[in-house]
Amino acid sequence: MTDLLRHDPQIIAAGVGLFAEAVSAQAVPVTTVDWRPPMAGTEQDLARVIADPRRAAANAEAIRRMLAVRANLVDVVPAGELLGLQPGRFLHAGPPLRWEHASGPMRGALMGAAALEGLVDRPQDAERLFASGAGVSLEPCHHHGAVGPMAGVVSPSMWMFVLEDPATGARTCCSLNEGLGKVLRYGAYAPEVLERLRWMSGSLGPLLQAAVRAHGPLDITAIIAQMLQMGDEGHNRNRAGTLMLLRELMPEMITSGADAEEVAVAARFIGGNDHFFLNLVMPACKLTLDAARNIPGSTLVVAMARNGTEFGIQVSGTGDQWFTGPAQVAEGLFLGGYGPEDANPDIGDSAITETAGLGGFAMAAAPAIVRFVGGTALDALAATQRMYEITLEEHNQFTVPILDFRGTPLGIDVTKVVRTGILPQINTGMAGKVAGVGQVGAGLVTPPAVVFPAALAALASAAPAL
Amino acid sequence: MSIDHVEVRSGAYADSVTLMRVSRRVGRLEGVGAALVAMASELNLELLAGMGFAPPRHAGINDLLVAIRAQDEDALQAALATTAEALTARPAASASAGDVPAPRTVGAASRSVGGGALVLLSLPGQYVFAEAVDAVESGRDVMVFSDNMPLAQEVRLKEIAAEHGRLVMGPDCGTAVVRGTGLGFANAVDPGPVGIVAASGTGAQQVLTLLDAAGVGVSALLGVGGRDLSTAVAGRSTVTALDALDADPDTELIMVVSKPPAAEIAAAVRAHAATLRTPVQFALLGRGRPDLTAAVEAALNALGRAVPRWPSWGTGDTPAARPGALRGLYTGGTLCDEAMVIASEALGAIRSNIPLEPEWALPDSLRAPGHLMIDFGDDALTVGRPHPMIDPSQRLARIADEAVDPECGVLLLDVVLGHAAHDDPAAELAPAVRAGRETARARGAELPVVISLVGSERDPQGTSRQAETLRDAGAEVFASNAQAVRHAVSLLTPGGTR
Amino acid sequence: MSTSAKTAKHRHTDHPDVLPAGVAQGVRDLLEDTPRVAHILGTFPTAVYLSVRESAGGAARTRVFALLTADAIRLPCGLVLGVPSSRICLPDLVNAGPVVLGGGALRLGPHTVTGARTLRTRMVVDGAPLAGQIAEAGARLRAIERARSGLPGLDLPGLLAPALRGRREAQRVSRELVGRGPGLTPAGDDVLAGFLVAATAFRLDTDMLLDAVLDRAIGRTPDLSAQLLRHAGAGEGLPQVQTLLTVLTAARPIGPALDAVLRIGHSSGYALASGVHAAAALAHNAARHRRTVRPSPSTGRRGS
Repeated sequence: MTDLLRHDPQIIAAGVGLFAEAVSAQAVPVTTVDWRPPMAGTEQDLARVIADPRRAAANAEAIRRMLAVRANLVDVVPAGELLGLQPGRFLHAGPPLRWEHASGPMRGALMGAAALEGLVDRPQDAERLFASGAGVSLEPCHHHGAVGPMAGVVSPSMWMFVLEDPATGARTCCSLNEGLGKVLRYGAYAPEVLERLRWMSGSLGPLLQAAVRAHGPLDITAIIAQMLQMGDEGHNRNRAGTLMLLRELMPEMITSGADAEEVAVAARFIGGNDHFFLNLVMPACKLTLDAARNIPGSTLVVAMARNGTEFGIQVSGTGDQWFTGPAQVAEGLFLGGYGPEDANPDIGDSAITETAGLGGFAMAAAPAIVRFVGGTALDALAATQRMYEITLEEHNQFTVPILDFRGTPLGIDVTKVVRTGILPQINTGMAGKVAGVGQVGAGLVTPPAVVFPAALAALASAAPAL
Repeated sequence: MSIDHVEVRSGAYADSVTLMRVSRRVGRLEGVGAALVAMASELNLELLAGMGFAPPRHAGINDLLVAIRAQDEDALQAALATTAEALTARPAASASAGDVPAPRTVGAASRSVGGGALVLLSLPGQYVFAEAVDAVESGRDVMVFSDNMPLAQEVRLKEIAAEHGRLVMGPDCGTAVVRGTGLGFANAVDPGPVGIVAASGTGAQQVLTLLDAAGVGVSALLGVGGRDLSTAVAGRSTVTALDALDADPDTELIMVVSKPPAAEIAAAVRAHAATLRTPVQFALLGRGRPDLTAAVEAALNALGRAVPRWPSWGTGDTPAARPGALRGLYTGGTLCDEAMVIASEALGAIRSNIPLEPEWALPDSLRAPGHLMIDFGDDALTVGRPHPMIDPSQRLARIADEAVDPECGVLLLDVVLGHAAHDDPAAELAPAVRAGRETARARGAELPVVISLVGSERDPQGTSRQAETLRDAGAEVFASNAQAVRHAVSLLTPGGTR
Repeated sequence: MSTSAKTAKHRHTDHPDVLPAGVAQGVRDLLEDTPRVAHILGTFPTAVYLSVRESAGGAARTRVFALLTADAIRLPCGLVLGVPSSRICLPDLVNAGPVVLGGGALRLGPHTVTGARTLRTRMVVDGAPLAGQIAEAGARLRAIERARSGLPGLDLPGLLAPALRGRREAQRVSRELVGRGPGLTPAGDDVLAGFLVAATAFRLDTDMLLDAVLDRAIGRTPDLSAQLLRHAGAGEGLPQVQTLLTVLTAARPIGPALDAVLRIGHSSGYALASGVHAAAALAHNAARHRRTVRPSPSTGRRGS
């Protein structure tokens, strides 16, 4: 029963200003909605999806499942062993991709990985191999419970963090972070890049494996919750998270029996690489979002990922279908003499952090990040506040101090994106577009708008006729 | 021939983001080929080398590196000055940290507003569904002023509202009064014992204002939208509104104001009304049925209140009837409808853009000989312009036209006051009335102008002042539309159009 | 609030010339009476209390009313603005010039507060209070009393029941409670206000008690409190009290409604709720005694 007649009214008004003014003139408080038309041509699909009797319950269930997930780091294992990956099979970031459409940094990373796996002697030789397709295959990380930053290339000899939700036993994984500068994930394949990767496989991986196994399950969700209180947003800034991880693992690294010099090198590498923890935030986010997959009627975005050519999203209510559009070039600041013309379009699975309410969505927790695009701390606040417009819920553990510990905006709703035209804001690094260059800058980017009406149309056709 | 300047400044720390911004700004200066302002980390020293600069000999992580390639000495000095300036610059605060951007959807607005808020929507009809669903899903009642919401969406919206125990007023709900607050086009009335459920806007306003004239207040007026009592919508909102009023201890009598609904819906609503503790009186408008004034009089009788003499201004003795056509120019659809029902009993066919009979339809020109009535508030006439209750220009032009038409025997007009209506309609209408009567006089005719004035004493425009202004312009003014129409008809000889 | 915060607020507040306000039912007559000068009794961020002299049946008396912001407690003597105290500075407003009430408006120097609509402040209930609800409210109130003083509370129903039956008892109770306690609304008055408003709503005969209370109140309790007692006697009270009354007659959880009353003021809420509870208990006994509640003029038409 409505209690309309029991309270003195307050009004929320959208539309003709005159009516809101007429209410104000009666000494009634009015909140005005800054309404604007939805994305063009979406009225029919919007009505049908919003009318879908399954939607509200499906979205509530999706959120419930997401908030129930705890991500524990349980193991560190080579990809070949973990995923049954044979030499010649490569995982990559983003939606499915063919070599002929692959961008410079993606090609560079694949070529480097081919050399790492010994398929070719020199990375440059791999171009012919991939072009011919003989004995090689490319598959998205997301199809294997994995995520990878930037090019996201995973080959059998790379070691992976393994995360598990203790309640369900669900698992995700991600490679180890190589650091900044000239690195494989940005498409660099110079000898020192491959050298570092070999050291990671030969020394760092086994050392971390011993430490994690000795430590027992390590609660990554708890570290993420803390890092947000310490100026990290979990995508472009992971400094506090990295140091907390190191604090957790250091005793077990020391007691692992490894040579002290080896431990020192590893500790220096991790501590000096502010992004090391990114590769744990990402699979934690994927573990959370995977729990919300495949709920019929749900309009929740469960993945946003880019392969350097295309940007793709997946939605809970439409299964494994990708909705793709051309990847955009980020706006931001460039290293050294690089400029926008040197930057590759957006690349990487790391937008999984935004999909789970971190990164650009938690910008207000990390005001330093917004200056990458020439903004102010207030822009960081506004960015997070804007994301509440397109999300279903506020996170119950990840909170933003400056917003009075309000939960981060969680659960992108396709219908809200289409209605408001507000696109998810992603913090990202920028790779050089020429294979082998590496990182050229960092900045902000959004998905191509077209992916949301496309996903909405698919949701509409899966919904009962109105 | 360019100049390479490489300088190491010890102990001059700045964060990397600031330095990226400085580098970018200096690098873009005229006459500067390349610039790197950065801490002298290993990575940055590599970058410097990559840009073709000669690396400095002694530089460490705590030193600031300033490297500029300029085309000449002047450009270099300018670049160095810019560097110094950019390194010391601090952004000016542009906004306050407490500012929260305006919400973009009803759902977002709902998060920031406490309980008990009502959502008022007047968006274009094709978009309003999503916002209305947001409202009921966030546990709020909603009034949808917009028309043109597809029927299937209305049905679904009301289903969702029922799941959440919420009331949907509308779509196409022009009027509501909740706890003394007028929403949409509504009159200012005092709290009192009558609750109104209305499928019609201006019809409900007539009921409000007559009750006000009788000194009887209103507990609430809940609009339900013009289609609620159709077979498809099946009175969903009407039933919810009836229940809300029945549960309201202030409401002693409920009036349902509507056009006659589909028979099975009428039966279902009556059956539901019979289960309530509060008496329900139906005021269903149509031919052969009591008019709104009679319905209000019946309600007053039921409450044991005296029926007053309905106010009128400037009404003298009725002169002898004369031939001529009745020309009704209305802004309120239900008032126009009621006028046609009453007038057609005496005068027969009345042409209209909202005709009682299909064959009485006016052409798009809105011109025809004989009796006619135009509803200027009809959807077809308000596309892309404000409602005539706000913008009188269309009707004013027509009044001038009628004044020169020798066939026009009586002008019948409505004026609807209240919240959201024009703030001084008499000021616009009085000169037009005066001019119209003078025009008629110039052609040797006396043109009576009869006005039904729908307003309550507390309306922002002031009913008495409006009435007096119109009376002084020569109009006869009635608080009851039915009385106004009967008076206008009495001025004409039946069937006497020339 | 610090001085600097006040100054900052002032700078951001641009008061319009005309401010619409909702007018409590019981103040409407005062607003529309002939204009007269009003005196400021007290100024707070959310409320300004003002008084005018009026002659009632030949005797001059003080009538108190309040100008309230949207976030203030909605007193039944209030003109309630549509804006919260964060967006308007009441002290600046009332100090802008002479204050004149009447002729349909409250004029404050260059500013005019108009009566835009009438607020329902008269309590309305549908039926008698339910035994279970009364018991639950009583238990919660006793728990608070014990927590505060460690002692069981006054037996208010026992104290007040005779005051409804005899003039001398009514006067005795008035002497005991009116003006008892500190503040603008002493606790004794709050108990009586809660009792009177609820007893009136539940249709108990309060005439003798009300006469005795108002008689006693002259000069013995602050003008604001005396005014609120007059409104209570007319059945006019706070919205929180209305909600509590509604819940007392319905099988709905009583906690939220009671808590809302308890949150009013520093201790006023507890006193008000105790008075309401006492009236409900007496009304229940009276109804049981009669088997059925006497139909009131307002619900007499219902075919219940």
